[in-house]
Amino acid sequence: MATPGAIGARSLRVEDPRLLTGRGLYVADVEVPGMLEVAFVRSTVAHAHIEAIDRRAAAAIDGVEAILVAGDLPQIWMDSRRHPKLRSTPQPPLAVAKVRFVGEAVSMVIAKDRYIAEDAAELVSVLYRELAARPDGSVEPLFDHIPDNVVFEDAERYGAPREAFDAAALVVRKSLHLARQSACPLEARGCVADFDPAGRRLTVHASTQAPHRLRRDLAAVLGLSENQIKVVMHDVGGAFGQKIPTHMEEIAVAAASMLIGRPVRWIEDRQENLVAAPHSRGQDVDLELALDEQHRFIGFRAHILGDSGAYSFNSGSCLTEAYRTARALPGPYDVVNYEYDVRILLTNRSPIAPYRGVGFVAAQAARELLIDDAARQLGIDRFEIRRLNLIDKAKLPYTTCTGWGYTEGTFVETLDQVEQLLGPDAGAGAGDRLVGFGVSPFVEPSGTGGQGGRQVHGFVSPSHDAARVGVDPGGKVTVSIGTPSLGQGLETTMAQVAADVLDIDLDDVAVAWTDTSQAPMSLTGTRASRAAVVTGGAVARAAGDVRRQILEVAAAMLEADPLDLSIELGQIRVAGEGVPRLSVSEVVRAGFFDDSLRDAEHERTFEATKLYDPPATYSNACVAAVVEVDPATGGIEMRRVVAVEDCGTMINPMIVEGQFIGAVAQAIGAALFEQIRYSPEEQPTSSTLMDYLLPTSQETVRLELHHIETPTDLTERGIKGMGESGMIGTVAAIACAVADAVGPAASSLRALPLLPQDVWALLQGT
Amino acid sequence: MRAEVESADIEVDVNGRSLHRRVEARMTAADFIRDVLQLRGTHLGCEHGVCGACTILLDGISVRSCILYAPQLDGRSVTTVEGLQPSPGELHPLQAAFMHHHGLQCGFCTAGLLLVALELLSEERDVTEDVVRDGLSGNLCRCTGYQGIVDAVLEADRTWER
Repeated sequence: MATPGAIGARSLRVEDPRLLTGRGLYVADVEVPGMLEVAFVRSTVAHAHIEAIDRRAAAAIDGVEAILVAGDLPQIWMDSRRHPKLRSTPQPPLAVAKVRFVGEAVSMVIAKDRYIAEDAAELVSVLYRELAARPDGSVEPLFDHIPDNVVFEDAERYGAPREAFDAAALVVRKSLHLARQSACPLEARGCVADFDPAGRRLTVHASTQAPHRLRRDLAAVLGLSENQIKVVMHDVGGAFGQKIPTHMEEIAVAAASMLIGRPVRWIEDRQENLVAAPHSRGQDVDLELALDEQHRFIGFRAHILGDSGAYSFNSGSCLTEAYRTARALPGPYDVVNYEYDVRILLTNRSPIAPYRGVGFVAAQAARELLIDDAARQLGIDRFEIRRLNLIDKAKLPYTTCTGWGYTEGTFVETLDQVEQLLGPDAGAGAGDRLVGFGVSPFVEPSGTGGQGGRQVHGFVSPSHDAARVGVDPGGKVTVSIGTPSLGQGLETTMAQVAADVLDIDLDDVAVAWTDTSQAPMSLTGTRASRAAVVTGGAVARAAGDVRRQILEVAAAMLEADPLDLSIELGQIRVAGEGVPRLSVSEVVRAGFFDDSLRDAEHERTFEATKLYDPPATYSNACVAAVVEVDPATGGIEMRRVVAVEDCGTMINPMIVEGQFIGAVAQAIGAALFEQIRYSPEEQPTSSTLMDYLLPTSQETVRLELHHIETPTDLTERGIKGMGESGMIGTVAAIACAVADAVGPAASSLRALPLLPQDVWALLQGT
Repeated sequence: MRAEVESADIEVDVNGRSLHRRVEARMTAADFIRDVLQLRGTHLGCEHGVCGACTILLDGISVRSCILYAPQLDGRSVTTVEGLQPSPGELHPLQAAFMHHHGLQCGFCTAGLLLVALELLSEERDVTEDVVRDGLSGNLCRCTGYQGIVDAVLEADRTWER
C-alpha cells in the first residue's frame, strides 16, 4: 500500500504556510546584535589603474565605523584551476592597483546603517588613470600574463568530421549571437559575517546555493580552518545559479568582520546586482551541419566565442557558457563526427557565472535553428528531419561523441507527442499576423554526481551529498540536508522521500536546515538539477538504514524475523497477520529506554547518515512554441507553449511542473526581452529593471505540459533531475518559432534576444 | 561632521494597530516597516519601484513602499502581509489558494502578490484569466512563471466570501 503523500504524490508544500504569512527568513532579515552595514564603493570606469583613494571626507561622517581598501585586508586572491587550459585570473575581494570592470568593488564603507554607509560611499573619492581602448579597437590586456586576453582556448575532434563535410550532400551554417543576460533572482545577494576574535569563530549567514563550498573557500583564504567557520542556512529568494559561486563581496565582508571584530552585513541592491553580480550567456556560436542524401546528420562543426568578463575564478568559471555549449552540441541526435573550437576572451565586464541551463541553452538554440534551416532548404517537414536523426530507443544505451552516456531516453516519443498536441493548425495565420511554431527536443544532464560531472564537464568534478535521517521516541522523523532550498520545495520533496522509505505519514517528517557544523556535507550544493537525485538518494539511503534499525528492534520485541515485518503508515505488521502489532513510535521509545533491547554489539541510534554519488543520468523533453508576430511593428506575442517531459520518477509532480513552468517563463524573457548592455566604453546601461525587462504575467502563457515517466535503473527510486529543462528547450523553441513566422527571412535570424526592432528588420530584409 | 537629517513623528495604523514612531524623514516606508516595525514579510527586490515585492496596501490601495517615505504614512492605514491572516495559524482563503495551486516557490515576491491580488478581488468578482493576468502584471516573479499564482487568484475569487 503506497504511503499517502510520499513519492509520486502532489503533496502540498510544507514550507508554504510560513512563506505565505511573512515568516520566511532571508539574509536581509538576519540581525545580529551590534551589526554594522556595508556599502561598497564600486568602480565607475571599466579599465583603469587606481592612483589614489581619498577616504577623509567619508570617514568624517557620523556613524561611519571604518572604510576599508585592499591594503587594509589580508592579501587574498581567488583563482580557479578547474581546467588545465583555463588561464589564471586571480581576483581580490577589493581591487588591487587596477579595476577591470565597472562595478568592481574598490572600497567598503562600514557604518551604523545602510543610509549612512551610502552617504559615506558617495564621498569616497577614487582617482583613476583610465586605460582607453586601443586605436584598432582591441582591449588592453586585463592581466599582464595574458597579453591576448584569451583566458581559455580548446579544440576537439571526434570521429571524422572533415571527411563527413567533404562528402556531404548539403552543408548549412548559422551564426548566432546570444546577448549577455542575468539570472536576476528577485532576492539579490547578501551575507552577514560575525567573527568572534577571542574564540576565533566565524559565523556567516549568506544567500547561497552552496554553504559547504562557501565554508571551504572562506577557510582557504581567511586563515581559519573549516571547523572554525559556520555557514548558516536560511531561506533563499531565488538563485538560478548566480548564488553558486563564492562572491568577492562575501569574502570582503568576512575579512572585514575579522578585522574590526564586529558583525558586518551586506545586502545587495538591484542596481548592484545588475551591474556587479555575475552575468551569463554572452556567446557567439558559429555552427555548421552536414547532411547526406538521406537527410541524415553526418557531422557538426562549431566555432564558439565566449565572453568571460574580467575575471574567471568561480564555480564553473567562464567555462560554464561557451565550453559547455561545445560539449552539449550533439544533444539527443545520433552524430558521431564533430569538431569544435572554443575561445573565451576576457572583457571589461562583470564576470560570468552559471545561470539555469548554462551553455546548453546556446547549443540548443543554435542547433535547432540550424536544423530548421536545413529542413526549409530541403523542403522537408521539421518534425520528420528530427525524427530521422534523434537517437531512438533501439540505439540505447548510447554514448555521444562528447562522452555523455544515455541509458534511457524518450527522444522520439516526446517529439511525437508534442506534434500531436500542437495539432495540424499550429502555424495557421491570424488575420494580418504572422504565426510560426518551433520544436525543440533536448537532453538535460541532471542529478550531477561525480560521474555526471566528469561527462558533462570533461574533467574530474566530484559532486556528492550526504544526508541524515533520525527518528525520535515520539515516532517523528527529522531529515537534515546540506542543500538549501531556493524555491524548489526541498522541505517537502525530501520529506516525501523519507516518508516513502520509512512508510510513515508525510506529516510525521520534518526537514531541517541548520548550518554547516550540523548539516551533512553537500560537496557542491543545490545546482545543476541535482538535489532531487543526489540529496534525495542520500535521504533514501539514510532512511533505509533507519528502517533496518527499527525492524531489528521490532523483531526482538516481537520475537519475529525482521524479514517477516513490514511498516505501513507507521505501524509494524508481521507477515500473515491482519492487525499491526506495534507502532514505529513504540519501537523507537523501547529502543531508547528499554535496556533489555540494547546490547553492546548493536547500539542503535535510530539515526543514520549516508552518502550518495549517483551515476550520470540525463532527462529529456521536447518543447514547442507558437508565436504571433505583428509585421507592422515586429512585436512578438507568445501564443502557446507545449511540452512533453521525461525526468524518470517524479517525487512531486506539482513541483516538477512548477520548475518547468518557471523555467519556461525565464526562457521567454531570454528569447524576447532580456539583455545586459554595455556602451562602447564598457559602461553598463542595464542597471535597473526598466532596462532589464523580466517577463510579467502578461508575457507568459499557460504551459501545456505532459509527462512521460521512464524511471532510470541507475538512481535511487529512478529519479532524475529536471530543474533546468524549461529553459534549455524553450529558448530554442521560441527562436525557431519566430524564424518560422518571418518566413523567407528565417535563416537570417542571428541574435537573441529577438526584440521587435530586430524582427521588424528581419522582415524588411535588412 | 554630522549630516543634517530631519526627523518626523508619525502615527500610523498598521494591520489594525495604531502606532507612533519617530523616524528619519528620508527613511523609506519599506525600511520603516521592516526595520522599525520589525515586520519582515515585506521584501525589497529592486528599490526602484518596478518589481512590486515591497507592495503594501495604503488605505486599501496597493503602493510600492520602496518609493514612499515613512513620513508619508502619517495618519494613514497600512496593511502588510502579516495582516492577512484571520488569526494566528489560520490562512486567509487567498493564502490557502496560493498553497493549493503552487503559487509560490522561493516566497520572495509572495507578499506583494498577495496584496495586489487582495486588492484586485476586493474590486472585482467572477474574474477571468485575462483580468487576473492584467491585474498582476505590475508584480514580478522570477520563480513560478505566474501560472500557479493565476490559478490561485481564480480559486480565491470563488472561495473568499466578501
